[in-house]
Amino acid sequence: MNNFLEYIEKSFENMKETESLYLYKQKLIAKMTERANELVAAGLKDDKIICAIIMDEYPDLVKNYKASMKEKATVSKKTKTGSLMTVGALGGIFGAVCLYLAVSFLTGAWNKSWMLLLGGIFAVLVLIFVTVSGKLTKKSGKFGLISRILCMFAVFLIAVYMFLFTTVIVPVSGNWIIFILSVPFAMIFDMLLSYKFNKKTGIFSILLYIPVIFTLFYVVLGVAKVLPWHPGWLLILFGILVDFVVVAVRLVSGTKVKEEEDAWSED
Amino acid sequence: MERRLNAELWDKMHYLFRDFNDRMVHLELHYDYEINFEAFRTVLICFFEKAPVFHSSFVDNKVRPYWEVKPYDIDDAITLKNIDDSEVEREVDSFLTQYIPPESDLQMKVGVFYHGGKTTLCFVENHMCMDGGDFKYFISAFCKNYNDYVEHGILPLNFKEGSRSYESVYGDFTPAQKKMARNLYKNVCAKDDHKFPLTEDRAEDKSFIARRKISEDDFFALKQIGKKYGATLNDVLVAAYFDALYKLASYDPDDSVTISCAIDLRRHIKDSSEQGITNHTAFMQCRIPRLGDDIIETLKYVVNSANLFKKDKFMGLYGLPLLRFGYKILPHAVSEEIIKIGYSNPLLAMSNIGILDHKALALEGHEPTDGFMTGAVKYKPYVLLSATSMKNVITLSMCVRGNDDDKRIVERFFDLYEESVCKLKNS
Repeated sequence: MNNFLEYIEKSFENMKETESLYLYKQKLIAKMTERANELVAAGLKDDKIICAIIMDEYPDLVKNYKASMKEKATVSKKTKTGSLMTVGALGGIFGAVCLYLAVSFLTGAWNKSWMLLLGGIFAVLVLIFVTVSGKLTKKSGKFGLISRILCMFAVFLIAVYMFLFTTVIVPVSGNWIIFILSVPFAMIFDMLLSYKFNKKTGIFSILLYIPVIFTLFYVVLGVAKVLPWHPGWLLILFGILVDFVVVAVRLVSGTKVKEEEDAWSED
Repeated sequence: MERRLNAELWDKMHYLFRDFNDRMVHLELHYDYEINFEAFRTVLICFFEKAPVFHSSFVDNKVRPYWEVKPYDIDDAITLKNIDDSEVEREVDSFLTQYIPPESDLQMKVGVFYHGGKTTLCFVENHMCMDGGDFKYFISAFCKNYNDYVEHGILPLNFKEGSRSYESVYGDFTPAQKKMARNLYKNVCAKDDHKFPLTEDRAEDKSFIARRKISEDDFFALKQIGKKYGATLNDVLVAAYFDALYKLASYDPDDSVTISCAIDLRRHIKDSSEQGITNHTAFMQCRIPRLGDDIIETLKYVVNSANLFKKDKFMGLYGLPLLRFGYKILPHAVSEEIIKIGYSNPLLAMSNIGILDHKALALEGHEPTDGFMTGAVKYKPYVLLSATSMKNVITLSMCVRGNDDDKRIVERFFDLYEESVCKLKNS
């Protein structure tokens, strides 16, 4: 026990005693004592060895202390950011409610003003989805399944709002196309992000999405009478052709690696 | 607070091997004096503390398995007995053939048997913790630390620590090599139906370890033969294995047979002193097209087959990316089932563990008088022939869960093996 105390005091002798340092030292003493008890329970009788093992596990107390302080600061910053986001989200919804009530009472257009409230809620949700997705991607370094689903939800929420807007506020006929269009847009969004973050598997998303995206564009353009159904269907073939080009490009870059490998094997 | 260790790829693979063997690695050492038990016990605790996987329980989590570090009492890991000389064989066999469940709190058991002023040490450990390569390091480091502690009072804490990840094998590659090695997606499983002719499973089957020594004279003779034909000692031992096996199992001499030989992947690591104890073992398939007309021709087939592997700079690294991929993309329970479909355990295998350095294993100036290390007890019809050498004497061993008939078959195999060694010597 005395050895630990000496070790701890000696390690921090050049540091000014502060409350946080004092608490850190107390925590260390408790941890080291617990560890010593574990070693005694395991059957170790030699005090010197017990101390050596424990000190070995805490080789640089000052560095650990600084890291712990830094971590505390980061956690506190994260907590602050989280709190700000929660307050921001609640504030956004509250603002939307206020705006909705104000506009409704002033204009009496209750049948349309609810779009303001919905817009506020949707905007907050989209912001939350995108932020959480970004944080998860940053943390893991990969655009994972949850991040992808959240991003897609964000796109679909925007599409739902656009559909409602073009139904309630500015009626547009054939606005149901927005739902079909939201799928290729969600796919393009997902494809670009997944290729950016998931270099190896991103290619599979591209190959899968391209023909679907072209097919959906064909349907949308056909319905909107921008493109005739015939020979508009060639757009689908074009999508498949793009897939082949992507594969060819990938193979060519793969061959370069193979050549490098062969050259290396010849050593 | 609960402490967890990551279950590495090889930990999971050896766990998967539970259907084929008992996953125990065994070591037996004999000394001509009574060791200092208290010092021995102290060094063992220090090593357990340095490598907490030895006092961890494997948790078969269906999504992501892990090791949970457990509190322990070292006396639960050590069996100390004073016995008569006549009891040594029985006690050692009984100790060595024990099984440590992976969910047990301790993954290594040690037997210290005092008999007639001598000591026999037995170690049994879970292969999921480390392979023969690191077990050899473990025992050498153990003896060194023991000596330093007993003779000079140096604290016995000189034991390597670090990552247990299989990825260490890529550590010394250049970025381009690393990229290539990580893309070696290949199923390298043995595909050969030739079996060692053991009996069918019976209720009375139990684990046994059969051993046979190859004398110092024969050891040098085999080395000479190897030199003459450009073969390693391992090649020579494998050739004798083939020769004996064809006879024992009455294979058609024109049949092609494959024996999987363990290879130490540490060959790719320049300095493993910064790595933790772990498994770095893969298999190479040694395939001969037919039994040679004489044993030298068989040896030449073995050399040709082995050279194919030895020329490859990525020797033994094929298949690792596939396993990693399998374990990474799916939850453990699912990936295990899928890997089981693609993995076929070799029916015939050989592990040349290599030299047990008697000087490094000396305790207080007493070199071990005898000793050997051997792999897991295989379940029929799988077999593994292990070979270690000490003071130029080779010990061949085979651990089988079988009955008395199987024991006789294995002994017959060793007789034939000796005949093959004689043929090699006389050729």
